[in-house]
Amino acid sequence: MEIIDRSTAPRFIRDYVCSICWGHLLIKDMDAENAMIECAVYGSDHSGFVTKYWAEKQRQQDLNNSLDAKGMLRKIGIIENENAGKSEEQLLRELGF
Amino acid sequence: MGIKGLTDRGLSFPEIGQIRKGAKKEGNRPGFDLTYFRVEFDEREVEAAEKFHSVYGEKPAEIRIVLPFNDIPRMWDAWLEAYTAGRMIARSDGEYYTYLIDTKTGEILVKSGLDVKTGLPKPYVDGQPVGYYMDGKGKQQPVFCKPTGRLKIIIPELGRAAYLTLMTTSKHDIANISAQLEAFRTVNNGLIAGIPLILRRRPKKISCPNPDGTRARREKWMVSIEADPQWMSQMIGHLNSLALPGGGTYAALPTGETEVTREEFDEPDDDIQDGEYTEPEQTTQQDDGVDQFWEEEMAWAETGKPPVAATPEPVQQPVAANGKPARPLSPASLRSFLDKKAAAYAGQGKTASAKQRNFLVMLLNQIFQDDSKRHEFQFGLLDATSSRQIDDQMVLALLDWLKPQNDSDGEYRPDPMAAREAQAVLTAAQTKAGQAELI
Repeated sequence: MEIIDRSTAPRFIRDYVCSICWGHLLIKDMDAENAMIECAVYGSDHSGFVTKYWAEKQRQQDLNNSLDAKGMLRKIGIIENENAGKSEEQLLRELGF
Repeated sequence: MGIKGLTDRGLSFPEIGQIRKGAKKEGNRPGFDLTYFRVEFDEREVEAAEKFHSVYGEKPAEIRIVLPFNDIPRMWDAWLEAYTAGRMIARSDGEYYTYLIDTKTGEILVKSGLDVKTGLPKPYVDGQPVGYYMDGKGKQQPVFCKPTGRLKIIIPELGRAAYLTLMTTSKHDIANISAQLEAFRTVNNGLIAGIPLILRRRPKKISCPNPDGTRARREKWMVSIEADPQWMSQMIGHLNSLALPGGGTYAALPTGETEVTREEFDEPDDDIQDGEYTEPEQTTQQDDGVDQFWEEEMAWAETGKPPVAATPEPVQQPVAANGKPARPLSPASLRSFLDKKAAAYAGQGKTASAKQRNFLVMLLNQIFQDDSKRHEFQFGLLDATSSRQIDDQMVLALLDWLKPQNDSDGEYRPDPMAAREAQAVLTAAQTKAGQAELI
């Protein structure tokens, strides 16, 4: 929850999301000059904001990160290989070939 | 009480908790420094929290970790950052601003490291306010940048592809962690993901400011990342063997079977006698590696016409005894064959799915182990700065060329010959870039 200048509030919720859940923000009017911005889902339990652009960039990088991390973790035996036991035809079908 | 909503982001590789050095904030005052790590999980991660605390207790001073990537910037970022009204208003690498907004208007002044008006980097000056905020008494107060470090770590005992973020605002920790990560990477030939490490708090006397402006040395519990002792002893053994002449691979000298006399040692070597030395025969490179796939696709060989090189290259493509290109293919020949394959897919109206595209990126990352090298390869072969710029049909052609095979671990691996050809493309691209810089 943050109190900001009311005139910048619309631009704020256009460009930012909650820093913890990356959810949308809400404006709550306070008075003629100030407005309160808070997370639409968790309200005043969350504080802090990140730009929508940054959150979207993290989402785009997430799949690559997931592939690399899971590959490494399977190799060192931390997680199991979910493809173990599947036939070649089944694997190729899942990949869209 | 855990963190609410951390796992709401909908990520495949999610952040499930945070690790901090200090106690919780009390009002506006920072929490006092702890001698252990304060670990907070997302509220919904009940099982993970229980598993963690059953192994490490409530006040862990040591945590076993692995790092998720070999590329350090993907998991460790350290900046000078300033915040006000809940959001970041400035970020700097210590020399230039990478991001800066006007606290009065909210207007972006610096984005992606460049001043939006001049298009040039904006220098950062340490100690200079980066913005202002109004305090509770209505007075304008300056805002300064402070060091912030965030490290993504995986805890093996949780058995999941999920990470926690270690947060620190100590410049000593940031310098130490950066140096340690780089050291591990150097010792292990650029590989750091999966090394068993231990995250520790270690007491250290560091210089701290007093309220009156003077400085004093106080004991602080700093963060240290250390290698697992067993792994380290194996690595030291390996390094010791590499330090030996020949990397320790030469056979030991025979003991006492032959005696080298001084006369034999000093005698000049007159091995070569007239008539014994002959010129080596000019032979074409025998191609044992031409695969069935390429035999089917190399229509140009049947017509007898040489391949049209996509880009000019100084090296002639070797030809096998049967007249077809021998492998490994040169970058130009590779491009030519990929173009033909892609054209065939286009003729069939085939397109690549998002899964196939991501699969391609994964296979290339296995070859290059580094995003920047993969990008250089893509640019060198296809003039594509991103995998998204590669046509669907070319994605399919590349997957055919890489011929992924399931290995004994169930992992997909690219064909070794294709990997070799990919490295040749990268080398050619880097050489060309280097020549361009010289010009």
